[in-house]
Amino acid sequence: MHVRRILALALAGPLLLAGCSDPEPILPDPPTTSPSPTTPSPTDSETPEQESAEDFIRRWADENQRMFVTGDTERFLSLGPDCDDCKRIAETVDGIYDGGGSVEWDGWKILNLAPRGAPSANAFRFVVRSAPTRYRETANGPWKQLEGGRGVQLIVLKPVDSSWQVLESKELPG
Amino acid sequence: MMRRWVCLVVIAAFLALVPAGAAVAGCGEDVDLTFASQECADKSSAEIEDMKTQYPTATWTVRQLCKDDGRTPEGVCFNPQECTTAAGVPGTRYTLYRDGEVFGTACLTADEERKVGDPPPIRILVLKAFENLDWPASELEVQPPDGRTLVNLDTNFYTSNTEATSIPVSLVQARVVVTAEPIAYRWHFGDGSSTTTTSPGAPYPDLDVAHVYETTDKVLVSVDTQYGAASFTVNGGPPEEIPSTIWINGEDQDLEVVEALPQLVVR
Repeated sequence: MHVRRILALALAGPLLLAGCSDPEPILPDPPTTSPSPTTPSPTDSETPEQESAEDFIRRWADENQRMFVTGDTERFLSLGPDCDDCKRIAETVDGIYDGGGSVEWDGWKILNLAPRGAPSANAFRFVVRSAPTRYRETANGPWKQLEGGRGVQLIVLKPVDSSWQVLESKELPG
Repeated sequence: MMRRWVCLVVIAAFLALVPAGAAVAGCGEDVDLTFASQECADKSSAEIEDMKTQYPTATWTVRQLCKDDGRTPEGVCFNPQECTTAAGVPGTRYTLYRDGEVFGTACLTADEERKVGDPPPIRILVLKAFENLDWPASELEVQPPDGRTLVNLDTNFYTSNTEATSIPVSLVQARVVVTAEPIAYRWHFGDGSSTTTTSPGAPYPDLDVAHVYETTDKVLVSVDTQYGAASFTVNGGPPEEIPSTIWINGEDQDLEVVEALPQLVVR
């Protein structure tokens, strides 16, 4: 069966039902602006350097890879607290690691990246060359393989202070 | 209780709207687990217009996606799903159908939604089709004939492909005839040199397109043809200009460049 179908069946039901069973709206966390522990705190006279959208997208792609191979979704999700697509990706990771599984993947090489639509949309199309993936869904389950290759991504950002957050992450027709 | 019931209806509607294979229509294969976890992006109005030219005989329709099951008899949602279009303006989300089959989803403004069913302008289709038509390559004539010529003397090249070519095509149920003629020729002499002319050359002794080989060699020669001055007619109507041109590569021919050896002839 197609991987997408398996993941969709595994994830769509709980997601939809979870959304339905909660009577209270879940408000997203406010954007965080705290600096990383290794970065010195800026003084009042300093203006934090604006991170370019491209740099942010590359950082997001690196976090995506790190999340898949470590099972730690926190840092990835913090880059897009309002991004439902990101939550879906993180739930795939949780599903694998909660079952004792693991993932081996060297991530993406971004081949090109360009704005899509009006500049105000903060939407970007980028083409990736993905490394092959080896994963298993339980500790003793069979290893499965995805061949990797070329893929096209759409990412929609919103500016937050001197950086960005992800709003959407979708697959585009190649 | 009511909320849960509505949600179950939404889930049922979702599953009914996304038959096997439909959810990935237009998207690539799952190259990794990130792609496997993602949905296909909503198509933009520009992408739909582009797809119309790729599938010129297809019928495209949309149906609004609702936040709930509230819908008028015409299919318009009381609470449509909101989205941001590729142009960055508010739009609503639709299921996109090609010939009645789910093709994906689209995020469109009301104006863009009204254009979905319009057939693609035939001019755009013709411009797109122009480069894919089977324009004939020119046949190269070389003099002296029979694949041999002499070093340090003129070798003559020409082609008889000078007339306009008309190709009939069927586009969106219209009879379209596209016509173009050779407007330039690119001659490859096989020794690293080439030249482009508007002349098709001429048979000997005109030497309109000629080349002198400086060494003996075995080379491949060819002539490419640029078609232009193009036009099209629809259902026998008046011709409309096509601004495009296209180069059609010619086939390689063997040519052996030999030396003429002096021989004493007894008279």
